[in-house]
Amino acid sequence: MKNNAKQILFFPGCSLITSAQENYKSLKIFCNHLGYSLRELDNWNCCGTSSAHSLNHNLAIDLALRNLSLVAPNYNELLIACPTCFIRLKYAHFITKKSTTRIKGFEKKFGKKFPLKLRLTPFLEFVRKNKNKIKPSRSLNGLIVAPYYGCMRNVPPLLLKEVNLPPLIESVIKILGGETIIWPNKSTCCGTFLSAVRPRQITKIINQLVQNAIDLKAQSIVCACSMCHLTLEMRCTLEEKLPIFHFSEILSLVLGENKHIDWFNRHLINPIPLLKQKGLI
Amino acid sequence: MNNIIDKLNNLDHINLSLCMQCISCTNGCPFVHIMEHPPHQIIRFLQLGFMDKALSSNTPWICVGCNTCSYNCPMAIDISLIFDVIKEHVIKNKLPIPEPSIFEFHKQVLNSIKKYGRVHKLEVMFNFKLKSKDLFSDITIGLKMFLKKKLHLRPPNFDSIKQLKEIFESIKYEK
Ligand code: SF4
Ligand code: SF4
Repeated sequence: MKNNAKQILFFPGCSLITSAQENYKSLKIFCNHLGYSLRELDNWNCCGTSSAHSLNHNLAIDLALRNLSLVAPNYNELLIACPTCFIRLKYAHFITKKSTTRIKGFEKKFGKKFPLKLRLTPFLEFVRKNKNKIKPSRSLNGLIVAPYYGCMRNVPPLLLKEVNLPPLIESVIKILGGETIIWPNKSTCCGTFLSAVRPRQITKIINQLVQNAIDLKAQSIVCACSMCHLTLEMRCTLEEKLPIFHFSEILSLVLGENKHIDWFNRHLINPIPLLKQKGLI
Repeated sequence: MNNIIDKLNNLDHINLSLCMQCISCTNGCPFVHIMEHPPHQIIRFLQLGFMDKALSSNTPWICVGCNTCSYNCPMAIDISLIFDVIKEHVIKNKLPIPEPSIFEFHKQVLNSIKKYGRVHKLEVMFNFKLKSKDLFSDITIGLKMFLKKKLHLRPPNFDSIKQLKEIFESIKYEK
């Protein structure tokens, strides 16, 4: 890491500290490469995921707001890795910002000033802003990738003017020496909690999606959401499976860091043979 | 039971009369085949006052809130938010829950957040499977995840349980 690294405040979310630690580790390496050091928001809580807003609107808002109350006034930006966490926090921030009653409620409940000017930055936006600083030390050697966004680009109507998540995986993969396919499933939702509650139906959807990618000659799927990553790895039951990567893993891999073996061993679908075949490890 | 319409009207960016039944929402929904009614039909029920049909359908419960529908909707109707209002109304009024297992899953997640501040995935899955009397269906993949350290026995570290309990207690969500 560079010595004069700029500190950036970071909200990992529940997946990155448990099932997707490889996402967290590779993201850290990537940010360090860009000259940032990540500082995890102290004592953050779960954003509420799909479950809180499904059962109680106000609970979902308060869970998100508590996280915003933890941001010290000297920070004006919070980087958020998980697209679901990002939307939950952004939504809560937006509807609070728009209402003086809600702002007062916030200040009473948390005893802090509402961080009106705080910028919430989703990971893809962060990559876009820093795209020119990526200095790969090796090429992806023509690795063919199916870019997978899941539902992250379907911004809810209230936030349409606030958020624009760029379809960035394609252009970055190209810069890094890989290729991407055009396929019908890049924005098909992975099913989130239905993977637990309706595993059979989700298996069908995921198998179809992976099969489509295989038919279009993809060698791997790259996703920018750790929940999508887990669902794709867990629910694919095809005989021939595709390795599934976190976008951050690919970004760090081409930087020539040698810590990646730790992460790749955590995958449920082994990506190592493919990476060897492509001369990437 | 009409107060669900009041509730929807109180959300200032929701206007049910804007829906022209173009079906773009339904065309985009990836889970329409496991819903009792396609999303546009629930909006139609609300427009026409068939509240019992809207409130007893499994559609709002199957909905995962992916927003594909509203992103497709030419009138930018927030369909998943409307479905959240329906679910909350069903819970608060103690009406029959059309999808008890989905309700149970969400409750397990919220219990975990209340108890640990963060989701303890292993415990959520275990409790959920226990309640659904289906401990073994995902045992192979579960074990693999455990061995790969994707599921952990130890609960997450978190120091503000008291504050979090207060948040939960100030909002009664349970049935
Ligand atoms: S897409 Fe919008 S306007 Fe069309 S049917 Fe669905 S909710 Fe109504
Ligand atoms: S938000 Fe719900 S209704 Fe809309 S597309 Fe997604 S699952 Fe279907």
